[in-house]
Amino acid sequence: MHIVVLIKRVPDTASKITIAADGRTIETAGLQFVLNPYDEFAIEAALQLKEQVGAGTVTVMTLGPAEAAQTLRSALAMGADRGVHLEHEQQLGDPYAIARTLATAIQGLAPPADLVLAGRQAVDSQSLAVGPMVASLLELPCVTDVTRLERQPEGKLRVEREVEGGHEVLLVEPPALLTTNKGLNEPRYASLKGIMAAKKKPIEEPAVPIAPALSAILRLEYPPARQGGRIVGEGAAAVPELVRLLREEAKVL
Amino acid sequence: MSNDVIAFVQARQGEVKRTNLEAVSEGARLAAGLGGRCVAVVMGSGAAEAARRMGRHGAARAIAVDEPAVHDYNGDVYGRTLAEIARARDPRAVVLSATAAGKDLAPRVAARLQAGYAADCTGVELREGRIVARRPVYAGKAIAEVGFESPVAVLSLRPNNFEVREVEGEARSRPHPRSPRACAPTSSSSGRAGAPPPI
Amino acid sequence: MSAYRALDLFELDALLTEEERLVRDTARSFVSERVLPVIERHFEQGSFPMDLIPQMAELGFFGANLEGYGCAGLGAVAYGLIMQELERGDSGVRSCASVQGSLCMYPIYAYGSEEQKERWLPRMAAGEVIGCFGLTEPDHGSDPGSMQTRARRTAGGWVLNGTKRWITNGSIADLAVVWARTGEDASSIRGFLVEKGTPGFSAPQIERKWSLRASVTSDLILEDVEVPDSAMLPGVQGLRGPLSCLNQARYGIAWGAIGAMQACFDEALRYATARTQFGRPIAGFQLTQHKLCEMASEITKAQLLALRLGRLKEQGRAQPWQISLAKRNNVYWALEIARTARQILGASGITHEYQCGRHAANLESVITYEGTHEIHTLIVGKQLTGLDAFQ
Ligand SMILES: Cc1cc2nc3c(=O)[nH]c(=O)nc-3n(C[C@H](O)[C@H](O)[C@H](O)COP(=O)(O)OP(=O)(O)OC[C@H]3O[C@@H](n4cnc5c(N)ncnc54)[C@H](O)[C@@H]3O)c2cc1C
Repeated sequence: MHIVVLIKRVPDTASKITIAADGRTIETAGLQFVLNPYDEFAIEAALQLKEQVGAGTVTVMTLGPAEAAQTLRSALAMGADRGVHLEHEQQLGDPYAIARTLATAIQGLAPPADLVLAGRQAVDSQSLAVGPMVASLLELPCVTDVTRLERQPEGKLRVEREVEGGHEVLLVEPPALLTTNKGLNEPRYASLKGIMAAKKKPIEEPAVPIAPALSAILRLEYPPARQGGRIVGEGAAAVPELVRLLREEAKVL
Repeated sequence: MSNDVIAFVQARQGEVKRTNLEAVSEGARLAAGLGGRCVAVVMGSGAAEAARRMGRHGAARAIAVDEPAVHDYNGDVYGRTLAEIARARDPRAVVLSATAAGKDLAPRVAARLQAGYAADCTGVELREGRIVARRPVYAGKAIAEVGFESPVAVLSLRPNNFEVREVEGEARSRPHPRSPRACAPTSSSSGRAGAPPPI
Repeated sequence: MSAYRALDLFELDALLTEEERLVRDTARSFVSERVLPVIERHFEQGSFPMDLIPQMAELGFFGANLEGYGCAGLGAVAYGLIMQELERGDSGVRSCASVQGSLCMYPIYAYGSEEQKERWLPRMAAGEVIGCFGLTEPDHGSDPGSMQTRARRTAGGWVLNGTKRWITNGSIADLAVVWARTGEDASSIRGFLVEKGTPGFSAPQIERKWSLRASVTSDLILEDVEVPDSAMLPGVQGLRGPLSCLNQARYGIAWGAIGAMQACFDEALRYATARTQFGRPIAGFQLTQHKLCEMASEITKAQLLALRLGRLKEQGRAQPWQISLAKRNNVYWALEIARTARQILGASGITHEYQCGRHAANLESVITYEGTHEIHTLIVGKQLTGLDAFQ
């Protein structure tokens, strides 16, 4: 079984974000970068499936700057077998271009992928797009936000996802693409032995053309400062006013 | 290319969640600015009945897809169906509410339409006739303004951030002529499975 | 509370290899997710978090810098980074790993017979056998050369008598490395591997500590303990044996202290920016900024010192007095920083809701064990002057 996991290098969500002088990107100096947390679930799921089957290859693939090789290395240290690095400098890329490029690279893999996994979202761009886009471009069945994954004896995957007011159970027959959500598993740490072994694992850099962007960030700005609290009244008498404010001003009702 | 805007609406037993109406209202506002019309595509059970009400929120037309295959949300089926309907109308934009289903559906449609996509938009405007979307990035620590290079843009709208407009009028509504089942992924000799069936 | 952020004002990360960063990240996540959630409870009740042992073993933290025998074979800097991260959690957890790796596995690795290595090292790396190191005695601390514990030769082995005190991991250990005199003076000191359960050997725990509470500290009592010849470490004799082990461990402590500093600084900075008095964050007052600036500059200096020392060690060039200087400096400043952080936190700083008080209490042990601050001063002083001030 060949499982491909799409991963991304992202700024740690605890980082302070500073908009760069160009007004369209962020300052990267001094930022801590990590493997996108949702992708960790995907890597763990891939490793567990491989362990369960007892054979197979887990390939981790990323589109990103030169430094993203470190992110691949950390996935290899967790236990993935092979890395694919598509080098590209842009920070928050156009989801379509990213998906198109990844899809082309996946198509070029030998052996072909039996299963593609991706985190449900990257914590920087927050588009929740790349997984389902890649699936659509490759005409693969796709289930997003998977919180449970089991391989059935005949090879089908039984997956669960949270939906409004409950959860949905689906049967998927590979090849397919799944995006992973929090709660699916507890990602393992890279052990020291895994880290040492990762040094010897290959990272390929296939010549895949970067697809042209269909959207672009024109400007970045800081969100407006949060407004302070307000007391609308006391006791039951305040309820109608509170409801009105929530509906008309906060627009949450 | 038309200047129309497609707004996606999900129906359940003829009921439509308020967030879907936000997509219709915003779609209509955008269409008016572009000099086109808003076409609501209503999918799910009781879609025809719901489609008739979309005019009240600014849709000039409504297309209803009410087949057993779309009674429950399934991303593969919905994605192909909505993309196919949209492609036929060659719109400037497809708008959806970024509900759980909308977030799952929008990127699939964008991929099939080769469209630039902006997720979870908190604002949409026209600047010199071009669509510009505002959306949070970096865990909300920055807001991005996104412009589009593709002829069509797909936008998912953050729920409860856009107005629901009430207007006089009724959408010209019609059922989608083709069975959406024809749009479902088919299993083929390549061994590729169909849409995962709910069990 | 948002995630921990390590201070790296001079981009020292860039001086680490990819492998070193990965090792550090593993240890850092482990501490955030597995150590910090439980450590406060263990510190309060005075117990060691035993379930961390198999986890640390699985990740390869025990004897990580040794080659073969199931050990990861890391370089000195990577090993130091593990100690740094563990001590960011708690000095007690780092102590456990230091003792296991540097004080117990290391002497077996460096001075043991092949049979001893095969027998103990893989199981110690796997966390199945926990070790301790018995050098200090009730009446002989800084001056271990005059120890009283004696090993007497018998037909097929040795009989040990004596008492060791302040022995980390003592009561939870399966194996003790016990240093004993075989003759009259320090040059006769030998190391012995004493297994738990050997008749005459017991390890009662020392209670009522207010420092290093999440660590087991014990006496080792040896009353006519018979061990075979094969229990003696053949490769070393004299004080050099235990001191060479201490050099390994002290090196790790120089790194560990940075972790404690970082934890306290991170906490103090967050608190100072969030806490307002007189209408503005206390971080806005010059006196607070002075404290934070001092902390940050001492952390940066400590990082540079440890990193350079690690690189020297990797080249086989680190001198014992360099290790003394680094241990002395870094632990001293860690204690200062923990106390200053406590000061910045005001009353909140005295509760277990915050870490700085626990670190400050722990560091009182760290500044004493593995050579007291004063003893390291004398080691450096001797190097500088050529004059021995010990006696
Ligand atoms: C929590 C904890 C864990 C420990 N774990 C271990 C362990 O696992 N194994 C082990 O063998 N030991 C261990 N120790 C013991 C530790 O190494 C000793 O406490 C240390 O060496 C100091 O010895 P002492 O306490 O007897 O103090 P002393 O040697 O009596 O010193 C008392 C004071 O006198 C000062 N002093 C002594 N000599 C001189 C001098 N020549 N000039 C100037 N000042 C001097 C010292 O610096 C100190 O301030 C541990 C100690 C603690 C607190």
